[in-house]
Amino acid sequence: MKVLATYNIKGGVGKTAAAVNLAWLAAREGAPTLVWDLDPQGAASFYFRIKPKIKGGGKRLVAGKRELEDCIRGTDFDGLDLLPADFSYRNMDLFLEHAKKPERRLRQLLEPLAGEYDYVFLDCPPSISLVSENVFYAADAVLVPTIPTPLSLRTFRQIRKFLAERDHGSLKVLPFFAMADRRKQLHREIVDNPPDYMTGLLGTAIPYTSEVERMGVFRAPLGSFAGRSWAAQCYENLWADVKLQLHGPGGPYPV
Amino acid sequence: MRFEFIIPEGVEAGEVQAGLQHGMHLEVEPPVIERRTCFDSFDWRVHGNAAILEGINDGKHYRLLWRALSNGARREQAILDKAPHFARDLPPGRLHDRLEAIVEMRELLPLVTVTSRLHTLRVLNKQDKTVARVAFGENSARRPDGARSFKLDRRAVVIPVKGYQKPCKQLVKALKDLGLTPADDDLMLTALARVGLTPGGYTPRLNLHLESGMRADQAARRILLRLLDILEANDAGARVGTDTEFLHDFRVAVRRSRSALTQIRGVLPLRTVSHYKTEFAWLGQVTTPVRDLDVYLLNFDTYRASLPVSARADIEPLRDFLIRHRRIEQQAMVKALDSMRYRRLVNNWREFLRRPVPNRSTLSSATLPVLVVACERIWQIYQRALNEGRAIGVNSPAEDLHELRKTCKKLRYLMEFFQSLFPPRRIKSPIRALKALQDNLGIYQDCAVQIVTLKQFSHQMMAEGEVSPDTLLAMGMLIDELERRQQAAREEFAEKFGKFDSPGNHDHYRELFTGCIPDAGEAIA
Repeated sequence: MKVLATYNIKGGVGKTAAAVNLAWLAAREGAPTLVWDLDPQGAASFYFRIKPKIKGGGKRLVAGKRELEDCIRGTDFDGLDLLPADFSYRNMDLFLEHAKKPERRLRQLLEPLAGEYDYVFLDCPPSISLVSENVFYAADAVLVPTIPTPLSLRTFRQIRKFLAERDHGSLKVLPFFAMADRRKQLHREIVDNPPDYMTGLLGTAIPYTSEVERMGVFRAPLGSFAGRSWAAQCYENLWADVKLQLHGPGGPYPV
Repeated sequence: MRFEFIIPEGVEAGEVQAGLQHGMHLEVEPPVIERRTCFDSFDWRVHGNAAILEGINDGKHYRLLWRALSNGARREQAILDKAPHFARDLPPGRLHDRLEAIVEMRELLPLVTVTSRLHTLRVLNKQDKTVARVAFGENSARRPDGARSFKLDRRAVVIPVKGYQKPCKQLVKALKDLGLTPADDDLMLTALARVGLTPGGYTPRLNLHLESGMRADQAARRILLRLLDILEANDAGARVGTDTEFLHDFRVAVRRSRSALTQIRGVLPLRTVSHYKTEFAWLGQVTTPVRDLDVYLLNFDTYRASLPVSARADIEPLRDFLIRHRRIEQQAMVKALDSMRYRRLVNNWREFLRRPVPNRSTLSSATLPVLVVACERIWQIYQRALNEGRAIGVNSPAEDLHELRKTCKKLRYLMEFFQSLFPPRRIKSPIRALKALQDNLGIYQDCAVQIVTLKQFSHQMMAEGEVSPDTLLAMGMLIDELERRQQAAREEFAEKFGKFDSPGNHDHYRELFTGCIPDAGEAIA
């Protein structure tokens, strides 16, 4: 089981869209896949038309009083499940603090699912907190959607620095450009000439298109309603990039 | 959880669908035609694991799905370019690992294709989220190579969505209320039966049920007839040669037949025994070269991995050599199997075995109860194995170990032939102890044989043309490795034999096999 987190300190950069679309692609290839919507705003749950509600709230879940497995819901797509968000996740830091090894609790919670899923996507809330610390321990790779603007690049540098300082240096950090608008010269310049510190940068940039926004109208992954669109194609390429990074060329699912 | 219902004759699927509309928010999906092909090995290994392996060609990919038979739950699949032949054709992943462990080197055979015209209804909740599905199907089955299509039941299948049990239960209740009857079997099993296939219909195991009071000659004929059935069941596959296990099972049946002929003494006419001993020995002989090469090819990757990384590529010409020679030997073997001698052997042998046993017999053991003959022979061979094993010391020649191996094999076969005469739980332990010793002797002997043949291959490769010094060097390293393994097996022998020659094991043998032998108490064990 590979755990992938879509993470950024900034909000509105395409974390949820990436988690939902990549997870859909993984499941379509036959890999049992789970998305855990860790963001109390519940955008991933919304995309899958699943109520952002965990019976007993996040507290019981984190405390181990409620099985993760029992909270999982099947989406409309074969092999793709969701662990919904809950509004109580806004207090996730507090719940985690009560655990034995607070920063490793998420990883511990995911362990029993290893036999069930090939991929778990953690759709993270935008912050640096105990939740993100947990995500870094639990994940095999962190996907960082980055808008090609100076401020977003600065945020990415901050994330890198934070990870290096907190001994997550070995964690696979895979940034990629998201919401890239080819009409803007600045976006074009950055995408075409990415700065050197963006090591591990994935080759595909996700464009800023209305199709991605329409996911909120259709409440479904992009590929399920606009599979031939440019943006959907970009997500497919991005998924191929991610798989290559995770498994190398001889990986389990076609690259 | 998965529920299948049969739509009775006279009930229109449309009526059922209309009936479901009441009280449920449904959405109709466009009808689709789905073709699912069931795969299994010749010896039904997937079915033996209570599962179904099916392939669906969706026009773009070939999806291979594993689902449990008990509840139809599917949780493993792989995407391929085309239908697989072997587990190794699957991409790395969960299903690959599962199939490699279960099916191993056996070919995955397409057994039956079910074509279903499906009308699927989705049950939606207030958010328009799918919370359950029901698929109505008109189904037919056909053998992948057959022209004839067989009509199957029309079915409604309720497919639950994880975390939403209530709508699923509602669907089940509604379908029952509408007069649909729950199906006893999975549709794929019905399809297999319809085209005349019985899951589990072939097994290389003897699976005989002998009665202790049965006449020994009658029992011997039943054993030999079962072995002949196994041999003939594998005949066609051995000729094709794609799946190496056909030839393996064929040869095991030959070896067991030879062993039964010689070891179950005094039950068959001497002339018959002598004639068929010669004939089965010939059959063993003509099939040996292919099997020897198969063994090399099956182990090749392990051999390769045992070499230093730098030498691994150098050994590849040996693989090419083996494949080339296997092709030649396969042709020679098929020629032998096409011969009159082979036809006559199997036909006459079957005719003989089917003949009723004479009421009276001059043969020493023919009319004795089979239990007595079984106990006597097992006890004798067991003691021979003990004698031979105890005589082996640190400096004993390799031939002594080979002799012991042959004796152990005879003992094992005898115990397997007569297994059904003894309480299943009690016979397992002596078989286990014997198996551990046989494994050790097997490694030792196999390494010895492989060292000799590798040397022969190197000479042959040189005689046939250019062979690089690097390849010969790599083969030399392989011989070193085999010698190391052989030496390790030799060093382990004393311990393995010690367990076989233990008081506990003697007690097991004595209790099981001396009950009906008067002087057995005086025996060495």
